[in-house]
Amino acid sequence: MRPKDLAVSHEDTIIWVSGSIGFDKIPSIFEGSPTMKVVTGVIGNDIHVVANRLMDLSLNARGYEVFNLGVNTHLEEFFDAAVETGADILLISSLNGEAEGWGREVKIHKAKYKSLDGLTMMIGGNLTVGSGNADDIVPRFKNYGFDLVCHQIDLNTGLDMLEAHLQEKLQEESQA
Amino acid sequence: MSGSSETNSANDKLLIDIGSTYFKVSTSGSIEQHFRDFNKRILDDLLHKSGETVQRFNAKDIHICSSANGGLSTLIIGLTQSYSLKYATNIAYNSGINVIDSLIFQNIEDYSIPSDLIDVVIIVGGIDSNSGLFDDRLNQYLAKLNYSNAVYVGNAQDGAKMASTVKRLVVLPNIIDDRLHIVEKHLKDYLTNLYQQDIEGKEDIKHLYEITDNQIFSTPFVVNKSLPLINASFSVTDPFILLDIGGATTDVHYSKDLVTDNIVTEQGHDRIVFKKLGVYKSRQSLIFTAEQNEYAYELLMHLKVTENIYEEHSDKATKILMQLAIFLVLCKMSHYRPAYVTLKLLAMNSIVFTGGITKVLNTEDVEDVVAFFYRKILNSDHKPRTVLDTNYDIWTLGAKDHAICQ
Repeated sequence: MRPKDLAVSHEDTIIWVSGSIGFDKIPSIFEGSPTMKVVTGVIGNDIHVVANRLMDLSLNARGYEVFNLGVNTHLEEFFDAAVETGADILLISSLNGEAEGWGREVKIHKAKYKSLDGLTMMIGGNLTVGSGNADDIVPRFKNYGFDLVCHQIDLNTGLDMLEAHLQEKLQEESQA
Repeated sequence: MSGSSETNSANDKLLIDIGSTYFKVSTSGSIEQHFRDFNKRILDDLLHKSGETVQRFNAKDIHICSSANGGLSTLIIGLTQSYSLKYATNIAYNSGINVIDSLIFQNIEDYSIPSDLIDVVIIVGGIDSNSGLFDDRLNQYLAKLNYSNAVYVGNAQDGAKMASTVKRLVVLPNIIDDRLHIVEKHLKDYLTNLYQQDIEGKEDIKHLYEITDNQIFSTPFVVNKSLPLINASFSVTDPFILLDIGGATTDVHYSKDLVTDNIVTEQGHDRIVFKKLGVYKSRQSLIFTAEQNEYAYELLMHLKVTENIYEEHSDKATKILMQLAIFLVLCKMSHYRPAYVTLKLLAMNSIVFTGGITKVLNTEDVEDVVAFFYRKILNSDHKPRTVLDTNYDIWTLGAKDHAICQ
């Protein structure tokens, strides 16, 4: 059963939050395969912790193994955690445009690692200062090196997008 | 000594600290300090200068620590800077081991092979549910390396495989848990024991077992034990740092509150040892470090001397070198010349000095240098409270506490 949506108007939770409450274990699309590992956290000098906690709970409920680095996390720490854990997914959250500056350095930093080619890169939250336009923002962040970009999208929709992406990726790999 | 008719009461202990330059002998009523005679064995020198005191005690009541062994060296091979290398480096420093280099495994072919003998190689990386992280390149690197011990503290599955391929490899539990947190105990115990064996193995130190039944410990280990008790003897406000500037090395003990790193460990105080920063045995290396620091020249001007003081061997020169040592070690702990750890020095409330430096400098001399450092390097008038441990009370406190525990 899908967790109920939660309407929260608090500033630091507005984006990723309409997400999950209840957090019952829901059937994973990856039943039977090894548990997918996700490294997550809030990028940069950003202490918006509520949505980060809810994401942790939602990901766990969906059957992922979650490594939550918490708030104030720098890009190198995300990549380093992905190496140490052997993560499949890197899911970065951000609020009010903090990710913009850091996002530009993703390709440069990721290129230093030899074992992260298969890593699925996802970012979500409020990715600009103010409201912004997803039509501008999404391509910009994809160009920075992210596979999935969720600007002002609720948490469950974002995680559904992630599952669809992973399914597609698995199919491609099995056909190859 | 054992069997003496004039032995002291059961609670009285004799505490001895063997430094590179001085040795100290402390009883409940007095403390003696003697400059070492380097032409004699330590035991002979000790018995010559403090023989009467030593003979009043039973071997079981004599407790000795030494900082004269110089310490062990380690090379760390890990997967990432933020986790495996950072955690292993932290544990190594806290165990009194000098990290000579750390390298990231994925680029292992790019690193040159150190020519010196490495006392212990630490290999670390990955959580236990991750595996296959190290390959044959590690064996090839280690085959070219000259080392005495190797310890593996990474993911469990790779450890089991590596134990059969790497010579002299000790496999211990992972220092990274499944939440990416640090687990210190096993590696710290292993390194502390190795350090201990090194002290005991030193020819000069071995002879000291003729007068004591107790294990000989390293001085930084004993001093670190005293820090939670320091308020009993001094008006020190947390957070503080303690500088033990001696003849050969400088030990820095600091409150964990001063560190920006978010490693969660159990103890409240960490320590770091600068192996070649001292005013007697490491004099030349101290001068070299000073020559590389552009502010050192300004400090000399401030102290109204010139660089010619480096060539002098006088009381005045020793005093100036001591002041330089304070400045240089503060630089190493600041953002200006970072060496392993950068402390939030503007948040520091007290700075405590112990070791040979307190025999040469007075409070005014020390405060002058500390104020110069804050003004020049941190652009601040911040003035932490300066405390001089002129009677080695901090070491006595730690040694007594340790002796009671033994």
